[in-house]
Amino acid sequence: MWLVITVAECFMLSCVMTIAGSGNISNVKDAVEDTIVQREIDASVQKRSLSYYDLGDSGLIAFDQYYVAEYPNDAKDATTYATNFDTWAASKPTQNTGESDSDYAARVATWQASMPAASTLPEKAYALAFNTWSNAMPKASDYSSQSDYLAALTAWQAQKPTGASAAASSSFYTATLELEEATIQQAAKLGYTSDSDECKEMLGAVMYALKPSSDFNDIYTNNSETVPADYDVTSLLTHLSAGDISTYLTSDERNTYRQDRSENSSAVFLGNNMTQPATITKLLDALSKYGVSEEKYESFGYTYASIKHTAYSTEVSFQARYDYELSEINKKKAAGDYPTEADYQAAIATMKTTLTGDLSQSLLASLPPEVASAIEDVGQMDLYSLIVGSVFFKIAGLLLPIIYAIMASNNLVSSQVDSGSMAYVLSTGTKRKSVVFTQACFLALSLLAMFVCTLITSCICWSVVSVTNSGLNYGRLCLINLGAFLVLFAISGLNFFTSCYFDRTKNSLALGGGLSIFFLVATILGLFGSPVIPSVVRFDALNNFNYVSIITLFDVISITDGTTAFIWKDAILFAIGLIGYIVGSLHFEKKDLPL
Amino acid sequence: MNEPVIVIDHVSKDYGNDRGIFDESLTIAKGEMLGFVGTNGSGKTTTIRCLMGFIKPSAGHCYVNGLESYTHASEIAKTIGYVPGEIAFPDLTTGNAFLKSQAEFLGLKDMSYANSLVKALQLDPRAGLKRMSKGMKQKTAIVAALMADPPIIILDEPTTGLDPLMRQAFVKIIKAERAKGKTILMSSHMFEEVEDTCDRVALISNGHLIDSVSMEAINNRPTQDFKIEFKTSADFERFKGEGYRLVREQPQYQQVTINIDREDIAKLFTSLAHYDVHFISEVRYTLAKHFQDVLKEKAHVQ
Repeated sequence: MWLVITVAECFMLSCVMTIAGSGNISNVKDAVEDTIVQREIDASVQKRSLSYYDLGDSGLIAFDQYYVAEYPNDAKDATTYATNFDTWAASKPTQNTGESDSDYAARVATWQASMPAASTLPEKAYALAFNTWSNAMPKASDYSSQSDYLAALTAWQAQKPTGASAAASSSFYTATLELEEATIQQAAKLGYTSDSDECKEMLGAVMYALKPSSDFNDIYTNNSETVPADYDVTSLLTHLSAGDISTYLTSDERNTYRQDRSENSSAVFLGNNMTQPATITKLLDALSKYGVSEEKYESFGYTYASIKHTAYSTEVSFQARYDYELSEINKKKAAGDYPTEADYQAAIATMKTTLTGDLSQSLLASLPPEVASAIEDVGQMDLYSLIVGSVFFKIAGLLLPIIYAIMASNNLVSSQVDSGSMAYVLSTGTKRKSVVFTQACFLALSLLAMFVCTLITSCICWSVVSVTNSGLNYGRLCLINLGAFLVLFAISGLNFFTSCYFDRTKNSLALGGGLSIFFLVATILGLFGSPVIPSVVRFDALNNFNYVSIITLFDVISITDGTTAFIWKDAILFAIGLIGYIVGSLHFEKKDLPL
Repeated sequence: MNEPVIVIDHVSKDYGNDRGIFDESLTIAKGEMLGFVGTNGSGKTTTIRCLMGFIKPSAGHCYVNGLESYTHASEIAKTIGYVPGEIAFPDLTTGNAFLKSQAEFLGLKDMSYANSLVKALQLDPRAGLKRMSKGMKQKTAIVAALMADPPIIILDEPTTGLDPLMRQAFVKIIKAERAKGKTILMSSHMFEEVEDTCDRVALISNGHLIDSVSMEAINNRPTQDFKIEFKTSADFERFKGEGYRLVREQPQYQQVTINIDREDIAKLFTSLAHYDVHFISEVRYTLAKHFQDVLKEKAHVQ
C-alpha cells in the first residue's frame, strides 16, 4: 500500500510541476502585469517630459530676462571701448619710406603697447572679435581678379565688429552663466548637490533648450536629428532698440518660440536619456520585482523615437491645456474671483499641478484603490508557487498520504485488537511496549520515506522546468516537503492515538479518520479565502475555515516569502504528532485488551 | 501436592449490569489438567484473559508461576501456549507463513514437533489463511500454541468447529501433552469433552465459580445407579420388594432405577438371575448431573 501511494503521489507531483512550469499557465496574468508595468513606464516618461519641458521653458524665460538686463550695460561698455579701440587701431603707424624694418617694428611695438586694455567681458569680446576680423582681411594675392578682391574686401568691411555685436555675444555668455548658476541653486533647494545626477539632469534640460554653443550638438547628431539653430537673441536686440522689449518678452510670438524650442529639446533630451544603457539598467533593476527581464523590456518597444514621440505629444497637450486653463483663470480674475494676487498665483499653481498629474497618471493611480490593488494582486500573483505550494502540497498532494496514514495507523493497532490477532503477537512474549513502539516508528518512518521521495521528485522537476519570477528554489522546496511531512506526522499521531485508544476499528476510523478528512476539506474551502488567491476572486468569509484545520499550521506563504513564521508553526505540528503517538502508546500499554 | 502453577486469588472483573466475574478463587497445580465449564457468557473467557494479563482485574490477583499476570504479561506469555476463543490470524498469506512468523517471535528453530502436530491433525498449512475453514483455522491455532512445547497450555474452547474425528485427534494430542507433565487449563461448554480428559473440572455460572470437582471423585463414586426393565409387571412388583434402594420407578414401562454400593453388584446380578429382565443398564453419574445437583442445592439455599 505504501508503495502504491508513494508512486501515485510522486507521479501526480511531477505532472503538476512540469505542466505548471511549461510556461503557459499565466497568460492572462502576464498580460495584466505587462500592461501595468508598461503604463507605469509611460507615466514616468510623461512626468519626466513635463518636468524637462517646465525646466526648459522657465529656463529660457529666465535667460531672456538676464540677457535683456545685461545687454544695455554691456552695450554701453563695449561701444565706449570700441570707439577707443577704433581710434587706437586707426592710429597704427605705417612704414615711412626709408625707414628701416627694425625701426618700423619698434614703432609698431610701441603702438601695440598702447592698445586700450580690455578689462571687462564686453571689452574683451570686442578686442577678440576685432583681432579675428582683422586677421581675416582678404589678401590681394588670394583672388584672381581685382573686382573679386574688391568685392571680398567690401564684404569683409561689412563684417567689422561693433560695440553692439561684442556686447551681444558677451551678454549671451554672461546670461548663460547666470542661468547655469540659477539652475544649480534650484537643484540645491531640492536637495541635490551640484555634482549629483539629478542636478546634472536639470542642467541638461535647461542647457539643451538653450543650446548656447556647438558643444551641445551631440545629442542631436547622435540621434540623427537636425541641429536647432542658435538661440534667437537678435529679436531681443531688435526690440530692445525699438524700446518695446517688455511687451515683446511676454508676447505670444516669443512664448511660442520658447515653447516650441523647449518642447523639441526636452523630447530629444528625454529620448536620448532613457535609451542610455545606464538608465536602462537602473530601470530594469526597479522593474525586477515585477519580473521584467531584459527581453521583456525590449519587447515593450521603448525606443528613442517612441519615447521622443510620447514626450513631445505630452508636452504639446500640456501647453495647449495650460493656455486654455490660464485663460479661464484670467476670466475669473477679471470677474473678481481672486481677491489678492497671491490667490491668483495659487490658483495657477494648483491648476498646473493638477494638469501635470492628469497627463502623467499611471494606470493604477487612475483607478479606485480597491480596483487598483486587485489588479496589482493579479499582476503580482506567484502562480507557480500557488499551484505547487498551496494547491498541491497543502491539498491535492496531502489527500493520498492522509488516506495512507488513516489506514496504516488502524491496521497497525486497532484492527488487530478488533479482530483479536494481536493475541498471537502478545502470546509470544512480546511486550506491549515494544509492539506499540514498533508500530509507531513504522508509521512515522514510512511517512518520512514517502516525503523523501516527493522531495527528490520535486527537486528533479524543479531542475527541469524553467520558471522565472517565482518564490521557489531548492531550499524552499525542501522546507515545503518538510512542512507537508510534519502535517502528516501530526495527522498520523492523531490517528495513532485513536487507534490505540479504541478497541473497535470503526470507532477509531470515525474519530481519527473523520477529523483528518474534515481538516482537509476545511483547508480546501479555506484556500478560496486565503491571501494566495488574488482579491478579485477571493471569498474572504471562507478564510474562517482555515482556523479549524491543523493543516493551516503548514504555512507555505511564509516559506515562499522567506519569512520565519513557518518555523514555530512546524514546531507545533511536530508537538501535536508526538503527543498523539506518546499518549496513544501509553494508553495502549495500560488498557484492557479483549483478546 | 505439586506446587501451584496457576493461582486465581479472589479475582473480580466487573463490567457493570451484573456482567463479569466475581470473587473467583482457583488453583491449578503443576501437571494438573483443569477443565473450565459453563454456559456461553458465564465468564470463562474473561477469567482466561485475566490469567493471560490481557485485562486488569478490578479486584484480586492472578499469578502464573508466581508472577502476577497483568504486570508480567510478556514474561508469562513465554511459558504459556494459548489458543484464543476467537480465531483471528494476522494479515499473512498462508498457514505456513503464520507458523513461521510465530516461530520467529518465539525463537523456535526446530519445527519438527510442529510438523508432527500438523500431520496428526491432518492440516495442510499451505492453504491461504483467509481461505481456511473454521476447523482448519482451529487446527492451525492449536499447532501454533503447542509447537514450542510450552509447560503451560491454556485453551479457550479449542474444539469448537472441529468434526468428531478431529476432536478425537485433538483429545489424543492433549492427553499426550498431559502425559509429558504439562499443566493444562481447558475451557469448554461441553461437559462430555472435559469429562474425558481433565483431572478436575470447575463450573462457572454467571461469573461465579460454583464448584470444582475432581473427575476421579465423579468416576469412582462408591455407589452406582442401574435401570432395570422387567418383562412382566409381576416381576416388577416382586423386585421392588427385594430391598434395594429405589431411586426412581416407572410402572408404565415396568422400569425401576436402583442405587447400590459397588460391592453389592455381584449380589444384584445373582438375584436378577431369577427374574425375567428385559434390559439392565447403568445410569452413569455424569458431571452434568453433578453440577445440576450442586446448582439445585445452591438455589434451595438461596
